[in-house]
Amino acid sequence: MSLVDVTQAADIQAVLGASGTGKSHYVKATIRKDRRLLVWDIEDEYPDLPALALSALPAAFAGRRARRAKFICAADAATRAREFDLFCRIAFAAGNLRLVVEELRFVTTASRAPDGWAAITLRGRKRGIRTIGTSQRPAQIDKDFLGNCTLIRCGALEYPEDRKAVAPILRASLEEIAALSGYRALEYRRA
Amino acid sequence: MAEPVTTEEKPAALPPELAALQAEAIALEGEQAAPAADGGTPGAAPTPPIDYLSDAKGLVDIAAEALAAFYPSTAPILTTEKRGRIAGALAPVLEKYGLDMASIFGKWGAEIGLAFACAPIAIPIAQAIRADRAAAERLKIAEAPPPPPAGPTAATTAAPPASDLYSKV
Repeated sequence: MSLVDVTQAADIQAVLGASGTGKSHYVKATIRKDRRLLVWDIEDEYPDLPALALSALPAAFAGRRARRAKFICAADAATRAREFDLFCRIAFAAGNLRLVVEELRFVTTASRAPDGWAAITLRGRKRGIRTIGTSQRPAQIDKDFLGNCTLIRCGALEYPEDRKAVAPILRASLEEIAALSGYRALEYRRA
Repeated sequence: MAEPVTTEEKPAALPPELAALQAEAIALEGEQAAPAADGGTPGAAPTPPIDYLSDAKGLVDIAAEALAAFYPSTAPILTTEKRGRIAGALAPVLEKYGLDMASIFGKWGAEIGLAFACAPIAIPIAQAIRADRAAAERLKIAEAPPPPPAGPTAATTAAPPASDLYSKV
């Protein structure tokens, strides 16, 4: 059976906001019922999920069986970049899963994203991949991802350049974003 | 303590695409494990990546607060937003040179401590020295002998005799 299914609805979410604005809380509530879940974890924020090595992911997510796991990435940037590309390609090849990537600015920039991540954001829908990417600094993450999101949730942002980057895709004014505080967030859902 | 990372998962057969990716992952893990043979710690819990932005923010805050202690008028200029902008620009520089708070304070902690101990007295000392020098200068001027009365200068000497003026005619 082909992994590709063009009839599937896109589900790509950006969860943005400075530290302490409720990103993790929102993500954990969203993924609670996902049967197939793969998390790119940076600071071991998902203690309930088993940590798998990269080499264990292909077998763990082969087929369509239920599986929930995380991968904790390396600390050094060069290794992390290679791991992330491979991680994304494994997720793309496995398909039919919820993919969570914590803090995109550690692995993408506004103008550049690894091939694996580009495949997830641009073609993941057809593979049944529902993606959530989080970031504290939306001005510093992959613009293609933000442009393809079906839902953008944005809490308070500390830096003016981040507010500027988010305002047009959130269809909100700079003043509305600047007024966010605590756990208050703006959401834009693309039709 | 971090939980152990599971590496064992052997299904009957992987689809070719996943099998190729698994081989790639094994090769990458092999490269990462290699330095462990020289004294590294294989299987150790991975440390989180350095958050250069937070570090830059911390450094800018320290600098801004230290500056405001000496020059209080700078406090309203260095607003949170401006500090954030400076930190945003500083973070890529720290990343470029591999400098984070831990390494900066680890390497130059003693020097920074010395600077913070000396800085509060450095400015009053400099001001005192400047004041003493100015006082000494004033005293020197007051004790100096009066200058001699002004006489004719070379430019105002008498005109040459008429014979000289017409000698070439």
